[in-house]
Amino acid sequence: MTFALPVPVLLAGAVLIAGLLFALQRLRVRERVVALAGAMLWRQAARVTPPRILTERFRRWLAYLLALAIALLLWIGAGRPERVPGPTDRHHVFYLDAAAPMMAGNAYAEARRALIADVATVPAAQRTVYLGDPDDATVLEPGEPVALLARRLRGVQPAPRPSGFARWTAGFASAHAHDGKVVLHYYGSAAATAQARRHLPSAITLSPDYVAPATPGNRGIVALGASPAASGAWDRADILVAVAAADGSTVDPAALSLSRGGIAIDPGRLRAIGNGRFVVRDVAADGGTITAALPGDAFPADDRATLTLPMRRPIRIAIAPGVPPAMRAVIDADPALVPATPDAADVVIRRAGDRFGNDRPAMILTGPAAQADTFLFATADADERAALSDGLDRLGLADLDAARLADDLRRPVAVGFAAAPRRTISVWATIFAPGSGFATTRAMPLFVAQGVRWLAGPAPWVPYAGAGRPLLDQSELYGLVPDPAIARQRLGGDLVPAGTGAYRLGARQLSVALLDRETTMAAAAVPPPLAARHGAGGGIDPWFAVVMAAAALLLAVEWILYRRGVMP
Amino acid sequence: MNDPLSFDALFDPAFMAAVQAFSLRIPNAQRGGRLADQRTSARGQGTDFTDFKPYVPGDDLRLIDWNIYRRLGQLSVRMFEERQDMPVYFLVDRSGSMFVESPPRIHAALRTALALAAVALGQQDSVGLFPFAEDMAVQARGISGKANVARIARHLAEHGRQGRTALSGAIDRLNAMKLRRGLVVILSDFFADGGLDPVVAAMARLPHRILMVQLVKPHDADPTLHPDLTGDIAIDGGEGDAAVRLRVTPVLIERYRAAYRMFDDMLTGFAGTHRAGLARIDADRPVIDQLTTLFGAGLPTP
Repeated sequence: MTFALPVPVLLAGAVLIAGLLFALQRLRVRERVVALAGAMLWRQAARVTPPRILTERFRRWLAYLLALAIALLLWIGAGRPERVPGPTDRHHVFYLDAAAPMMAGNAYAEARRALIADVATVPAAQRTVYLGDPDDATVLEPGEPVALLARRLRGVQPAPRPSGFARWTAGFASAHAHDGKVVLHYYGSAAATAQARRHLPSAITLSPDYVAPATPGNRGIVALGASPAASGAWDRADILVAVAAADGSTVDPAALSLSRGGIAIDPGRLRAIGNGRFVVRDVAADGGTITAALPGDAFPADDRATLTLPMRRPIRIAIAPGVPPAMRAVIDADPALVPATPDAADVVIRRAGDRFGNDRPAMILTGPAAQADTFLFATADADERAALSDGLDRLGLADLDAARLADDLRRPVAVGFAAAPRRTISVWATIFAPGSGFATTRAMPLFVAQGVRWLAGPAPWVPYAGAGRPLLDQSELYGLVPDPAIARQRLGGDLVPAGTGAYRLGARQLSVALLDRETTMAAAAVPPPLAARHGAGGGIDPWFAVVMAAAALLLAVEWILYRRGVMP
Repeated sequence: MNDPLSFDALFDPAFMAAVQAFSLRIPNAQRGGRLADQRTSARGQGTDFTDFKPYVPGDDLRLIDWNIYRRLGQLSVRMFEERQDMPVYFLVDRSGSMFVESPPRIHAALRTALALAAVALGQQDSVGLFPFAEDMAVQARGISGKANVARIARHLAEHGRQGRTALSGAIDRLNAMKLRRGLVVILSDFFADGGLDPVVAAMARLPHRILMVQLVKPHDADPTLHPDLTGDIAIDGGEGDAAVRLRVTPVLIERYRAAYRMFDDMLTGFAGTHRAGLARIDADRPVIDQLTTLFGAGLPTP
């Protein structure tokens, strides 16, 4: 037998009750005063019946023990005794999904009510309750009273993100494969139920005790992202938006609207590319927002999506006198670079020793006498140096004929890394000489262009942000290294926005949307008929019933004895 | 509520009218028309002829029977029975036990005393009032005449609570006063200190006729009729003793009933053996009705 109350508390309460009852027994009885003329006869009668001390005391003790037995039984009942689950008893696990599928109508509220009612029918020691939030939190541990469940679920609402039940089930199944019989009660969507079944071993029975009703005719936005403009414009992005209808029908483009910063985008710019996908080209990548809307059904979670555009602006570059013409030619031909004074430049190109934008990230032309490495990359962050060393091929150095260059220079060609207050690339000026083994290769313009971009440290490129899914950083693709701010925040793991809305990423803020095709398509899925409930049967533990019945019986006995005047 | 009846309450017109009717009814019901038929051996000039006696100088000449003189030549005078007034002595218990309870037994006792006094006064008997508790007092003596009913009521209204019930002592003191033989009406609950033995013994010493008017309540004989006689109680008899602390149990109730039966049997036995009257008046019910029933059935006097 176990108790809802801790055993020391139960014992302490029993001792206290026994002491209180004993004190009550010992306290002087306050008699009622009755005025009677015949007091002398009562006195005479009392003298004839002297108190029988032994019997009286014995009767008092019996009365005390009876009262004590009643009080202790009631106290034990208050401690909610429960049978200890045996090895053949099933453990009941409850999972309340709080994801987007439960946002339709009153689905979540109904599921919550059903959950609490069902949990109450299972002995406390045989149940665990989980909430399908981003953390799959445990909201009721075995042994805890069901009243705690209602309190912990107060104010919890479903969030517009994909259901994590299938993922959670896979982890739960592997963790509890040998724990004996388990019944998994699920309160959520039909689609998640179907997905979860694939992960369950035979020892776990899945019981969908509540399934959200279907939303017929649902359609939603299942993708919204940005990629660098196909036109090659550095400061532009192409926007992709995809829509889907749960019934498989084609979504009328006229129903889809796009806006940028609150201003509607000309529908003529929306080009269909098939399979419900649409593209808008050459949108200014200025860090603003694009919003796609597809309203008109009963499931609003997927009817709207917002994307924060990457920030892409021209790099301001200042070139000191004496820079080799080959470098100048590359700079002039790059549309992402605009000339600027040293004070206003993002990046400068200068010779070593020049006093020219010395507080700016710089590509510095030097010689073998000043540095041993042909290419020396310096940055303050050791992680950046490690990331850069992995991406040197994107600098064009993979195409570099190092042997030939070494022959030309009559020196070995080496790449080095160093620590410095700001980013710099120091390179031997001689490799840019006309006719050198480097200046005439395709590696040189790539090296200059990518090197300048790395020095400028452009904003990260996050193509899209979907709720419940890891954040994708494509900065490495369009720069040289992953965004350091994202890398720091990620701490070696994934950044997963929990729900839709604003998401803080370092100094930047992203917009997160649902963007889940499975959720949109499953919203219209007709739930299967509910299976028979798998409750443990009877909400009252046998031990509790026995204790309360015994207390009631003794109370009846005490009442009878009192009415007969036998009880003192 | 536990104070004696005021004069106005005692001399209430409705009650007095009932007393009047009662007092008129009783003489017709009783043989001889008196509370206790008291014939005296004294010979005097009453209205009932009893005998002749020789004329002696000084006798009333109107009483000479001239027929006897004509026949016998002897002067003789007629003799008549002396109808003397019968004194009725009221011993009214005003001890504390008569004042506890609600309504207190003293109310019924005072009304009974007034009703009986009205009868006595109506029959030209004299009335004396001797309230008692720890001591006996002489409140009034030799009051006669119907017009003095109010005076009796005024005296009775003065009976405040006294101390303990020293009934035997009061009876002995009354006895010591060597009063003219009459009727002693003892109005009490008879719950006397020391029990009934000394009371019975004292009454046995009285030369008077005795009428015991016992003021009773239903729970005297059957304690289960009292709603408060359950559980742990402290009984206050109203006479200054420490309260009797009890736990009322079935056994105790049986013991009490046995004690009450003994008490009651002693009173009844004395009445039977000494030809005393014993009237039980329920203090919770109207007094006149009970007196009428008692007198209608024949006053329980010897």
